[in-house]
Amino acid sequence: MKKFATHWVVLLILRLGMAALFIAACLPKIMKPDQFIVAVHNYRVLPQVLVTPFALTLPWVELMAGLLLLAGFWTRPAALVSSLMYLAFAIAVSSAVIRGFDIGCGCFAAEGAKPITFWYILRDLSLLGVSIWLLLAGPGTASIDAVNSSRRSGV
Amino acid sequence: MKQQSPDSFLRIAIKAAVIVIASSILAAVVTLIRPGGMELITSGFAGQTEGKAGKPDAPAVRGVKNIDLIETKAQFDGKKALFIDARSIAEYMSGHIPGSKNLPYDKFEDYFLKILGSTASSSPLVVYCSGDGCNSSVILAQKLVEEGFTNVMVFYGGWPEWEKAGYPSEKGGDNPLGGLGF
Repeated sequence: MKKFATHWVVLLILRLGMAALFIAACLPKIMKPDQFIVAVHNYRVLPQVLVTPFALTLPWVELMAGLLLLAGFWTRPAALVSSLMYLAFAIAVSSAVIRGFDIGCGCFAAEGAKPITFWYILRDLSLLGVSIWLLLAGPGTASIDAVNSSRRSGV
Repeated sequence: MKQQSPDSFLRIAIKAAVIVIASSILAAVVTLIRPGGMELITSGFAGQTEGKAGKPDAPAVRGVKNIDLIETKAQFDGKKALFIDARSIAEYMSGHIPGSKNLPYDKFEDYFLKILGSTASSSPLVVYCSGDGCNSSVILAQKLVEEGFTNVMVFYGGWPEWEKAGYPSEKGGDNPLGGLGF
């Protein structure tokens, strides 16, 4: 099992999949920041004063994490950032579902075209699991991290 | 190839913090230089609204005026504004503000022209949905502004507040989407 979990092909697929998700998720938010600000506001988990700064910053954190995972550079730190983001997303979505809010997710479209459901919580928890997997297993050999590490080791 | 030496968790955490800080700086720079970026910070959203907010935490959207129950009733009595119900067809059919047209926010692209294609862009529009905690009306209002409507209002209290006040209502009616969507 451990061999499978740390196999370079498995890690490469997980890394590239997470990278693609982050990059796909951040672009609409960067293109339409005003709509994403409203989507963040509607969760009502942040103090009003933090809504705009958070909504303007989050897509860039997603983009940065996505690009780092894509390259396999600083993979574990990027996976830690990813883990924390998905943990936060899961908590925010859960709180909105529990409170019965009929709001858009704001996950892959800035305005959140579809209302959130329990399915979104499961999805966020699954992606949290993949992020923790990458955090623990590392980048695998098909990565810039592995190349740098080999250089440092003098191989 | 040798197995890479694992970073200590502290190093990982520090690098993660660097990622977040670098992203924040990038976000700040892009926001400052992009057209309308400063406007987002100063007036795009800070709880301010262009009118009296229907609810204290009604989302503020540029180009959209939030109105409360009293103003909504005034618009209804004045018969100047066109009411748009952003809820699902089923919710609309089970009760809505008389005269309102149903444009479910998630079917906007499909039915916008059918519902509002012949409406002048300067016509006052009042958009509502299922009340506090529902943002369908806000999303729909944003889309209407993007389509060029210049007098868009959101009644954030929505159908529950209207119904609770005992104001006129009607049920059923012809399928607003002409047989589609069921």
